[in-house]
Amino acid sequence: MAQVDDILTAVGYPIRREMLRRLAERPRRAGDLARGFAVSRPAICKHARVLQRAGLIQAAKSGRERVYALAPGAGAAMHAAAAQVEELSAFWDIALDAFRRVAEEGR
Amino acid sequence: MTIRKSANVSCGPDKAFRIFTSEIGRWWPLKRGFSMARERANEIFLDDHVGGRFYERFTDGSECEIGRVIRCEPPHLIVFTFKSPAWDTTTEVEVRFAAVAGGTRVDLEHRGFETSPTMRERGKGFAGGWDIVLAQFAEDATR
Repeated sequence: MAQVDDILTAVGYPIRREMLRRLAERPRRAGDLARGFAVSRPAICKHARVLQRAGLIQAAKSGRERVYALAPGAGAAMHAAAAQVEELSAFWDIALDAFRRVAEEGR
Repeated sequence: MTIRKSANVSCGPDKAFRIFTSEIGRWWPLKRGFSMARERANEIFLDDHVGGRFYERFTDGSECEIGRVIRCEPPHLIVFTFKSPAWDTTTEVEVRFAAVAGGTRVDLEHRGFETSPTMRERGKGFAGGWDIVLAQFAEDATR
């Protein structure tokens, strides 16, 4: 599985989240995937590489164009990354709450 | 990815800083599983000087370093690294203590799960979840 920080990097950018949403509907050719975005096609390719590196999407050649699709397990990997963030966030809630109680002892 | 938390405590910054650092063993929830060793968890320390260590000492006397103190300005600020064995990266925790009416405001930032300049944009992906957590936290902290 890709590293959690790779996944957080990948899904932390609005364009990449939109790309994931589109690919969740169905696999798309590069041109189709880039349609409607206000950024250049090379920029979309760059974003696609970030998503690929995180193991969230995969690319296959079809004629002259690349076809992108969600990678198997992408949803589970994203879920695991989000869960880790939640876990850490919850940890600090508990820790700071315990800190506050000690800091306010015997005042 | 950056996690931000705040808490208001009713003591002054000097005491808040001391309890957060040299007296961390009094509150860090080691026994609730927040330990690198779980059942062998025994003591935890956070030195209050630059280059100092953030570490655990287990029941068998062995030690495990969690991080190092990289900035320390008592009683206002401490920054230390934080790496769990389960993580691929070393992260950073910054804690600020500011005197406010009735006590001290403590702001904690846990950052560094990635190292690119677009960190702030990345954080937005989880903003919704964090907002909920923070709202809950604010509720608990003011109770």
